[in-house]
Amino acid sequence: MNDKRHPNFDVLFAALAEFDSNARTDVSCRWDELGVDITESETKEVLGSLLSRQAKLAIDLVQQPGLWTAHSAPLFLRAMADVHITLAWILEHPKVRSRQFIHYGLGQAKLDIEKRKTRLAASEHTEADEESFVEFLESWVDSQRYAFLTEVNVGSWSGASTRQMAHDAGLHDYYDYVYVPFSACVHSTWQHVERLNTAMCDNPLHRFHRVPSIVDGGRDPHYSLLAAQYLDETLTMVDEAFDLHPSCSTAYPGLIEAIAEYFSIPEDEV
Amino acid sequence: MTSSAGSRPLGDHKRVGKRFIPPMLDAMGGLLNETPWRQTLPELVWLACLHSGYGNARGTALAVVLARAVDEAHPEPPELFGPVSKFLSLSPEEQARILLILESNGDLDDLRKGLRSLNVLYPRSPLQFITNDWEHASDPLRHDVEDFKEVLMDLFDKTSRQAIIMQGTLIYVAFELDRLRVAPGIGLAQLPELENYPDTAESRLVAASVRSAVPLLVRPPEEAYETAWSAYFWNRGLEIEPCRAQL
Repeated sequence: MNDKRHPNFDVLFAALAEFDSNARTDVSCRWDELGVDITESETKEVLGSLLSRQAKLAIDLVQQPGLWTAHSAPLFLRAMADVHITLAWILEHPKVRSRQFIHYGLGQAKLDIEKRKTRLAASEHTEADEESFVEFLESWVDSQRYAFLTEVNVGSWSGASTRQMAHDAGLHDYYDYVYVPFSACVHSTWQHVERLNTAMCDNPLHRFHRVPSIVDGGRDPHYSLLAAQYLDETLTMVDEAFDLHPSCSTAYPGLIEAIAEYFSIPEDEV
Repeated sequence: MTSSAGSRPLGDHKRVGKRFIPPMLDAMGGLLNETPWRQTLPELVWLACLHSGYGNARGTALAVVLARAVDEAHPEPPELFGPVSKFLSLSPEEQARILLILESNGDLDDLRKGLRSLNVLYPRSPLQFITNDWEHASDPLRHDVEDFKEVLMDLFDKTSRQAIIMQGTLIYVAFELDRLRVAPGIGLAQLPELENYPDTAESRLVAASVRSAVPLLVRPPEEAYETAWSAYFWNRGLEIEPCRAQL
């Protein structure tokens, strides 16, 4: 085994681990400052869950350099863009839209349950685990809203496309230059797979056709910075929406410093 | 790089529901009836083989000789025997007559040598009858593959010099067999200028005319045997040298 590692390797990984705790702190201190109004619990619960979700997406990407590739990072970043747009749209009319968000999710769970039950009924052999899982899901839904009172919506949860939601929330550029470009990776459309999963055969007898390939573009730390940036932007949006002045917010700048320091070390010292 | 007209992206495109149609496609009614180069190239590659073996002048002369021999042997000559899949329509008797004509005027041997690589690599070549029963048309040799790849490499860019010479030869054959007439003064009438391609402005204009005219002479295939050649040609390449995924 080659023990020759970059001298700051451990420092970098310590910084990545620190991002984890800092990002969690960023969310916690905002939650604390927001306070909890039990009569507005749906709004705060949706807000808190989406902030937590955003932080976890950022943490997972930042902490896994193996994912800092064009193959994988956009999966996380596009999900983060989705969270940001969703939250921005909800914050336009938080009470109504939070409820809409929750009810849609419960309806989707109900649909999932009904499909599983139909399949179990049609199946000659059923697994006990599968039946237990269905019971668990039913309990989960009923604990929030009785399934027999829960509507199922097979359209979009907001009644609008993500593009329309972004436009309504004033995020036109964010949609065009963040959400859409990363969508190619999420949906594995041609503009993504042609560049990253094919190579051109250089044999003229084969008409220069494309063959399957996994393009190795290396690991780009910029993806980790994007994740931290998107988390920062979501937190800033919430700060502005609720006029918060948190004393925390250390995750993004700290990561910039660590990444810049690590990757600017001259090669002859490696 | 310029963007579309107007400040809106795709501002010059016609919107039809969720589709944005580019102006040229809209003007042409939405469909482009063009034979792609990947289909045209296999039809004309035999001309490039002759050029490669004998130089442009002699190679072109051999193409004319063959086309004239077909005219003489074929009872209904209006077809232009330039696109190679046309040769599949010849009966065995017509093929035999053509060989006799070529042998009598001393060109058969040169044609056999010029078309050898094509025929040994592509057993279903429409020009197989030229080298059938010829003692030197045996199994392909390594250099046959490398020579042919070298010829083919130059032809993928239809604006390359060799690709233009190849296309120009088709036009020249059409002129020589009186299958094509043009008014004096238009680009195609200055065909000899192609010798200077791409170094002169006039040669580039003539080349543009040639490229425009070739699809009219290599029309989309109407017969089943004509579509087979292009597909066979490319798939045969994968048999000659197999390909692998790069994983």
